[in-house]
Amino acid sequence: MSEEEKKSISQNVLEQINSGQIKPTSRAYFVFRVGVFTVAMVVLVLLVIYTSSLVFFGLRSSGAWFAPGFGLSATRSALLIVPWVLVGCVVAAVVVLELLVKRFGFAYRRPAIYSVAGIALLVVVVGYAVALTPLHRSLYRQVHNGAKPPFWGGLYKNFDAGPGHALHAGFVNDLAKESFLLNAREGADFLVYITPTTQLPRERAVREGDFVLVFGSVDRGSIRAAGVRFAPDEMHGFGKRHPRHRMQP
Amino acid sequence: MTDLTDEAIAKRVQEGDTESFGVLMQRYEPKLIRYARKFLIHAEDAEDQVQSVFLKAYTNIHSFDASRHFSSWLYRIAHNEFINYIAKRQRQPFSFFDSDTVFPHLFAKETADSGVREEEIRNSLDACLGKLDAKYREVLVLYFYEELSYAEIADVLRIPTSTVGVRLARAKAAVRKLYAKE
Repeated sequence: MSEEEKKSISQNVLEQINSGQIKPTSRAYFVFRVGVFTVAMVVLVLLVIYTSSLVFFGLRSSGAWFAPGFGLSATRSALLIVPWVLVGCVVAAVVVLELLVKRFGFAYRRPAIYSVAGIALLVVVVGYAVALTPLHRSLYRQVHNGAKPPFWGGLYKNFDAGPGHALHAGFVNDLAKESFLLNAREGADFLVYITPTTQLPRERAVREGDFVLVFGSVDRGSIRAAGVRFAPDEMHGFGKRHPRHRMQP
Repeated sequence: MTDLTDEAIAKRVQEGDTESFGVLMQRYEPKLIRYARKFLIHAEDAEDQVQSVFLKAYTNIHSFDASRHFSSWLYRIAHNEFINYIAKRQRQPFSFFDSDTVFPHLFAKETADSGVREEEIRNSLDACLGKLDAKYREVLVLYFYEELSYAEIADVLRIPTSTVGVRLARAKAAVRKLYAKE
């Protein structure tokens, strides 16, 4: 291309501008786009934090959170309880957030590992903190008390599936030297055997009426316990049976 | 007008002074043509691509933040336009995932003979550019021909500054290798 032709690039563009063939997109459009982007980011962040907190809530209320360290079967049961679909949604949302955040200089100027780690940390820490608030507990109760739950209330029904094959929460009854009867919250009673290898709570001895988590597989109505620990308060009131009322004389 | 910064002129364009856009085009036309010719090897219509870049820049002038560098913003538009061109015409799809951008890298410190080596690379660039991958070719063009800093290249390509260093080091090594063969 000749020098004369090269100069015509700016002339061509200016001609198109002056003839009105091309016009700048209005500032309002870009402001609107930034607004939509910001709202989408905020909504996505809130959704992913809610979902991650629901995962933590599900793990804690089912007892799966406390299973590691109580044998292979307890850990395997805990892994079966993990709501993997929700975990997958959280991971997908973190990837989408990373792609959105990459539009900003503070994110793309550093290796992606930092922004991914930052987002993941935010989702885990804030999600865990939200799981400890009464939010999910009250929604769970709404769903189970027959009150009209929010449209996503179905998510809370999944926790009814019970704590799995090797995780059992319930009240201690008929306590003997090497056994007790567990009134499990899923509605069954199990005879729990305590062996020399059973990991017992360090705080104090187990007493009748204690609400405990027992780790071990059920074999013909009995459990050879790999471990017993006091269940946290947040596990009360979940499942088909409400042992607090049942235990009252 | 000539002593105004690019950003000040761009602000005038945003306020409706369309003629000021001509000044910006005069400043950047030779640079963008060089960028297009070096990056889009064998592209007969490099000038058409540059024209598209200016048209897009004018259309989107209100998205330019005058507190930032106009050059980085314009080069970013050019980068996107050229990448699309490569993907469409030369059937070389650009990968959205680049493992170089994920983890931190340490790049070698400049040594005493770095200047000499860079001069050597600069002299052999023209002969070797066409034989390099687009991602290495582009970083060499922006660094050696357009004389952008690492940070500016990072803003244009939207990759970590350390990745710019890594790509440049690999690109330089590839040029040396190619030049030694010839």
